[in-house]
Amino acid sequence: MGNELPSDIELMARLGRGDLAALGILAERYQNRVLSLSYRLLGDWHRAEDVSQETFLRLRQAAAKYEPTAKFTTWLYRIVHNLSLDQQRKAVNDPVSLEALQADAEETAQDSPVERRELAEAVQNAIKELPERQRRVIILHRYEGLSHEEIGEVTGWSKSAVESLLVRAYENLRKELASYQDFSH
Amino acid sequence: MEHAREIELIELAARRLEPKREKVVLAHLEDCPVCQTKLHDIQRTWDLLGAWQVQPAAHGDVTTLAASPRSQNELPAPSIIRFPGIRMAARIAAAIAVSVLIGYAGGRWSIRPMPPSTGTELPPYFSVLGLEIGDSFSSLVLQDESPSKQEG
Repeated sequence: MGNELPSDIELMARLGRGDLAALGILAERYQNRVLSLSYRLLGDWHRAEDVSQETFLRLRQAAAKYEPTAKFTTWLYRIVHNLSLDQQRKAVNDPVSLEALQADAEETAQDSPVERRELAEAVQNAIKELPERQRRVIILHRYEGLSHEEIGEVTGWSKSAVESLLVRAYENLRKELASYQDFSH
Repeated sequence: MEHAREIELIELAARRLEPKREKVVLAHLEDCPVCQTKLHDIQRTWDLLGAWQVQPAAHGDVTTLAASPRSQNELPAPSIIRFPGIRMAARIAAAIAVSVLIGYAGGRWSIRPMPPSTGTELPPYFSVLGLEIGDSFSSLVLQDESPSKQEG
């Protein structure tokens, strides 16, 4: 029993009492998911890293008053989602540097066969071209595995709105990726 | 016949439809080619979306936020701190340190003792005090107390 990993809520309680090691464990547990979500929402690793740092700082600041009313991951995703939106707004006035774009392109290009790379880019572009709200629900649903209720909690939209957005988003993506329907993985 | 809701077909493709509904929808699918086609399309789209993979592990690490000691027996050790830029910065710092050391050693090696001065007259008080002129001291004498300067 003593070897059981502490739950997220236990860790938040410890963090609230000033135990910074608890934050280390939470970061280790979630930083990849936080980074992935932020990157998919923003399309830029540098900004995603900023969001990731800021997310865990927010966690630290909020720990003392944290009350587990929602699932911890849903609460965490809400922070990431909102911070990513802030970053997105800033990005309008502060375009991504050429270096960042180049770095991302190089990363996408490495170690993958041409067809698969092409498909990955097509998928990324198809999602990027979706209307904003559809884009967000697809990322939370397909890549983060959130339920309709959880997506609603993260975004602040009703469950029925989320479901409607999901249906339209998958339909739009089906049309957009029609030329890849015969692609075998 | 009522068709399956599209959102349920999406959840079925995602394998997240609740078991009770899954049974109902699967039973409907057996007799409905329209919904079968829809499910096929959704499943295909779902699979295609899987091609977009990201590699967060290659990017920024935030575990430095919590780099503090803590009790050993209760919690797993904090993760290793990995900042991608740190390695490069450490390399640059090491290169600068090596350059400075080489420069310092080279500078020391290149300094040679001054050759003994010739033809310099000792000030009169040297013999009175029993002093002898040294290499480094000679320059001071030349600059400040050479007889020619005193005469001028």
